[in-house]
Amino acid sequence: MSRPPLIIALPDANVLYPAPLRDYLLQLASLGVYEPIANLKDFPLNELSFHAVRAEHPDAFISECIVRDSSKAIKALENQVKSLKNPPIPVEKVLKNLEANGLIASVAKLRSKI
Amino acid sequence: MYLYSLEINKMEGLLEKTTREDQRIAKTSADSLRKASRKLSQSEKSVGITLEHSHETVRLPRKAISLLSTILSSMAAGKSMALILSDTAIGTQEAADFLDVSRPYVVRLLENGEIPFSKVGTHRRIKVSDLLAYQKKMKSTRRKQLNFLARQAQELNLGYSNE
Repeated sequence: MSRPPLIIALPDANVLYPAPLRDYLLQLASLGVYEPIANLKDFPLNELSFHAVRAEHPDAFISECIVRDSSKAIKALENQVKSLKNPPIPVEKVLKNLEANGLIASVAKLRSKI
Repeated sequence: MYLYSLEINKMEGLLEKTTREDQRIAKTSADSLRKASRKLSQSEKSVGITLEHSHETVRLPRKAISLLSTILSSMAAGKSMALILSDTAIGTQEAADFLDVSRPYVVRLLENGEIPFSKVGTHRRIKVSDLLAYQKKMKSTRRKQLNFLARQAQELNLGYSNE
C-alpha cells in the first residue's frame, strides 16, 4: 500500500480554513486517514525544499482520503455531525456546508457511500 | 480479543497477506455490511448470517459482526492484519507501530508512567490491553478538542450554516 501523501499546514493558518472544511480535515486525521505533520521543527525549512511538497486543492486531497478508506471517511463525517450541537446540523446540511467550501467531488463520493 | 492492523514485520510468516483480489471483494462487502448493520437495533445481541451454498443460518454475536466489519474495511484498504488476545504482551517497536508513533516516543510514554509495562530481562513489554486503554484516553482527549473547535466555530459563526 502506498503511503498517504503528506499535508503541511501551519497551525496559525488553520483560521484561514472555513470551519466545516477544517473540522472535516481534523476528523479524518484523528482517525488516522492521513498523517499531519505536528512538528515543523522535524522539518527544517531548508530541508523542506528537498521534499516533494506540493500544493493540492482540499477537494482533491480529501477525495483521495475517501477512496483510500471510505469507512473511516464516513466515520469522520458522522463524528463531525455529532460535534455540532448548538444548533445540531443534520448530515445533509453538513454535506452542503462542505460543498459550499469547495468539496464538490468529495461530497459526491461521500453521498454515494452513505 | 481485539483486532488491530499493523505493518506486518516478524509475524509475516504466520499471516496471509491481503491480496488485490481480497481487497476488491472486501471493498463491496465492507460497504454492504456497514449499511446492513446500521439498520440493526441496539437491542439485537446476535445476527443470523445465511450461507450461500447450504442455506444454513449461522448466528453470530453482535461483537463478532463489528469485528468482521473492521476486518473487511481493513482488507478493503489493502491492509494485512493480526488478531491478538488483549493480554498479549508486545515490544516497544510493535507498540510504536500500533500507535503510529516513533519507538523513542513510546519509550518516553513508558518512562513517564503513561502506559504500564513490565521488563523481561532488558526488554520492555507492554500489554495490548494497556496500550488500548492509553489509545482510548487519547481518543477521548482528541474528541473533546474537536468538539471544542466545533462549538467555538458555531458560537463565532465561522462557516457552519443550517440553511
